[in-house]
Amino acid sequence: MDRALVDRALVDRARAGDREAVDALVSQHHQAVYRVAYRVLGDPDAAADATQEAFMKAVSALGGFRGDASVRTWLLRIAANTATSAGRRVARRAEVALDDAGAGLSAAGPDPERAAVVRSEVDRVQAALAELPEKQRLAVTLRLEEELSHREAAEVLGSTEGAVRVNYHLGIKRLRERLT
Amino acid sequence: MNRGCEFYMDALTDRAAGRLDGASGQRLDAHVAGCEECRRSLAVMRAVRRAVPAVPEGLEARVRSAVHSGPGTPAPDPSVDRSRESRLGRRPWAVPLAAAATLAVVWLGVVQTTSPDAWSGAVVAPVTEYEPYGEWPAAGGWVAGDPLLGDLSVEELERLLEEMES
Repeated sequence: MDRALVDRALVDRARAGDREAVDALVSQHHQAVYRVAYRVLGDPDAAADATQEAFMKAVSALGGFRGDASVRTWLLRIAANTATSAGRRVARRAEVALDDAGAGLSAAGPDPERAAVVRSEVDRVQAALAELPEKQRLAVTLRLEEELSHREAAEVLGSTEGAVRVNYHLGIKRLRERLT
Repeated sequence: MNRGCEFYMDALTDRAAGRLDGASGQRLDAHVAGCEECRRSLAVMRAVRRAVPAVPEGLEARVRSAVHSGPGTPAPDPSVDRSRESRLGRRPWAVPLAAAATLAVVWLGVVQTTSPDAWSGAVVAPVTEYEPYGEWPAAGGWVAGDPLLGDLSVEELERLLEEMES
C-alpha cells in the first residue's frame, strides 16, 4: 500500500487511542523528524530533544490533523517549527548569559581546533551546510536528504514553491563554491 | 552558471537520487558532459546525500516513551507557525513591497533573456511554462520567469536580484 495511505490509516487508529499506531508513526518518521531538527539546530542533543517535543505536540494535535498535507510533511513542519522555537530559546539564553557575564568576546565563529579536524568529505559537507542561511540549508536538505518535492518542502517550511526553488538554487550554488 | 542551467536543477536532483533514466537521463548526461558547473552541482548534490546525519541510538524508544507518558490533551495545530503570522503583522509594508519587487524580477528576467531581435517589433509569445527536462531557453529568447516568483518574500526577492546581477 502507498506510504501516505498507510500513514493516514495509522493516524486514524492513533486518534482512536491505538498505542501501536502511535508507535508505528514514531518508528516510521522519527529519523526524518530528527534530521530536520538537526538541520535547524546544528546540535545532536538539541535535535533529539526537539524530536521528542515535536512528536509530543503532534500526538496531542492528532485530532486536528485535517489531511491537507501528507502525514509526513505535517510532522516535518511540526519538527521545523519546534526546532526553530527551541533555537530561539537557546539564542535568548545565550544572550542573557553573555550580558550577565559582561562578556562579548568571540561569542560566535568557527572554532579553530574543530576546524582542524574537519577533514573528511562528510565533515566538510556538514560544515558547509551549517554555514548556509537556514532557509537555504533546509531547502537543500529537504530536497536531497528527505527527497521532498518543491511543493512538499514548501508545506514543511510554511513557504511557497517559488521560495523553496530559489533557496535551493542559491544553496547549491553556495555549496558548489565552497566544496568543489 | 551558464544561462539556462538553473532549469536543469530538478533533473540534476533526480539524477543524484538515482531517479532519472531513459531519454531524460541521456539528455541530461549530454548537457552535463559539456557543462562544468552542472557537473559540480551534481557532485555537490551527491555529497549532501552521503552526509545524512546519523540518528542517535535509542531515540526511537525515548520518543515512544515520551508520547505515551505525555498529558495527551488536545493542542492547537503545531504545524501552524504563529510567530510567522505575527512577524508579518509587524510588517504591513511587506506585501506591497514584495509585489513591486516581483514585477522588477519578472521585468529583469524578460529583459536579460531577450534577444535583440525581440525588440524589433515582432510579436513573440512569452513562455509561461517550461518542461524541466526539455530544451531551455525557449526559441526566441523569451522567458517569462518562474510564475511562482510572485509568492517570494522580500528577502528572497532581494537575494534573487543579487543572483541575477552577479
